[in-house]
Amino acid sequence: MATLETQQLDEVIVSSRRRMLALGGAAIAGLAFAGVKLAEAQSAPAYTDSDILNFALNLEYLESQFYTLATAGKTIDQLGLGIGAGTSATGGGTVVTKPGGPAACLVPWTIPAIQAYATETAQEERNHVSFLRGALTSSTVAMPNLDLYNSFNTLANAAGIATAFDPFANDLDFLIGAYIFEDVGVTAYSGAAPLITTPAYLAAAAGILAVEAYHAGLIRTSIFIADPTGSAGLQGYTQQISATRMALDGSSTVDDIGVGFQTTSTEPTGTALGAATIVDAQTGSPNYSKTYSRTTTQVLQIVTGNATPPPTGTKFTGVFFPAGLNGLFS
Amino acid sequence: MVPGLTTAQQNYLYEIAQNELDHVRFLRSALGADAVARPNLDLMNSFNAAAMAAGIGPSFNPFASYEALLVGAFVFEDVGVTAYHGAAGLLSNTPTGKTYLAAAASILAVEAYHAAEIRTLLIADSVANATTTSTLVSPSNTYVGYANQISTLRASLGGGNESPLTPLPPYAVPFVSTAYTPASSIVAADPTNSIAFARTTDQVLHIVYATASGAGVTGGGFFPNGMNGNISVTQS
Repeated sequence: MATLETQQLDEVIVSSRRRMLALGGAAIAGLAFAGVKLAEAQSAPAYTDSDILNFALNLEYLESQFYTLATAGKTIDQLGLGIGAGTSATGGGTVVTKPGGPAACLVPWTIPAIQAYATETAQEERNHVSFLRGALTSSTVAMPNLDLYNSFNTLANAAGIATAFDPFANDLDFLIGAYIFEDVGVTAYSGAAPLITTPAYLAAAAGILAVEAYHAGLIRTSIFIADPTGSAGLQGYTQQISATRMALDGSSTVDDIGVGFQTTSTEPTGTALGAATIVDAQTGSPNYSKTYSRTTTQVLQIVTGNATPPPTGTKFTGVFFPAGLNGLFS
Repeated sequence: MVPGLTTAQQNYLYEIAQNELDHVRFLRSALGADAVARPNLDLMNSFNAAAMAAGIGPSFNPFASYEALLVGAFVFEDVGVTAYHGAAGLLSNTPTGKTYLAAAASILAVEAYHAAEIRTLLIADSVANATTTSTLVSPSNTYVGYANQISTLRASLGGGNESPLTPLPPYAVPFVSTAYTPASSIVAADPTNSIAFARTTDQVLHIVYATASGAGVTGGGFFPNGMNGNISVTQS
């Protein structure tokens, strides 16, 4: 049934594809990351629950700025959220946005449902920032410097998607931008939750993990709705991003799967295309449909674009965090 | 088997089926000799009773159509999230407990992916079946409404802990994004801090047994003879 929504989607996909193609052939910079693996065992520093929550707060600052720019054309501090150290509202880092500033980041939405999803997600990520700051009080780290412009160009290049990528250009490019974050949030909280010792913090972390997974499910389902056969290219982009994340985190086994198709044991034989991969987890033995976990180091490798850790005592820097994260895990 | 599914609808459902089967296999394997047998299940009278209690109608067949199946899936998925969330904190602080916690967190996440998927598909379906004129698109909220009636029922049985779906409001053609400001509610979470809800095992038992509060309930709803294992009788 050709509904209004599918017509709108078709139009956006066509224009999006045309623009992507106009950007030229796929970059091969992603090869620079290929084959770089490191031992997964990391020597963990002595840490407290506050260190773990502050690590999460760095990621929430990043996510909340992205969604708030996309839906409000403003930064979270322009909306009144505190970004300073401790209980100070001010004194946090800067955000590099696309030319034109925060207002230029407001997505020219054409699909009402996706705009509503983005508006919801922005509010929830802001709530996570407020919650963590409220829980950490005087221990709160300030927002580090963030980059939401060059970062996407660099990642798109590394993933072989295009030489430049603007996640604020339209509804579907926004979905791809969001895709970059959400599954990483799930694996980061999943990896960090067992490190937490205070029961109340553990429960909160599990509750935020669940919300990040709701977000990831929302984004991945929306991408599948927009590109149900893969012919529009969106599925391919997610697979390229997942492959890049996996190359960056140095995992020796599969720990990231893009939106696409898989064969499962439960489907009738001869099924067209098989099952989808909405959930970022391998089915069957030995993983049995459990999401993956990443160490704090693996998450740092992804969000700063460094497959190789920096010298001991120096921070991971680059991509979304040009001056590194704030706090012990950095 | 649900009739008339499109290819994409099959793609979604085959994956969820496989994920849930995998979780059964994983848990049975992790539990070894401690694994309980599958209890008796009811996937017919249970849905009819739930539909009656929720005010949807005298009967409800979740296998009748794609939309009906989404509502049927909605009955389960958010409950799975709250159940794993509530239970995670009960696992011990020992190395073994932490190992189980990591697994439980990963299954919790998958249940949340599923819950978001089902909720997103319900909203997308309301748009796909919208009433459209030359100037206005009005999403069809029949099945979103059924899901929300289920949500209200669950809240009454399971201590609140629910976020109803926000139906997408009508929008003008051509669409003007700057005049459109609703937020969806795909995520089920406490609206003040956006942390997902947790339910106690007792609250979960009351939902799946379809019984209001009270101690000593041993079965009902989806488990006509009760669950197997130590946590199977309501405590309050």
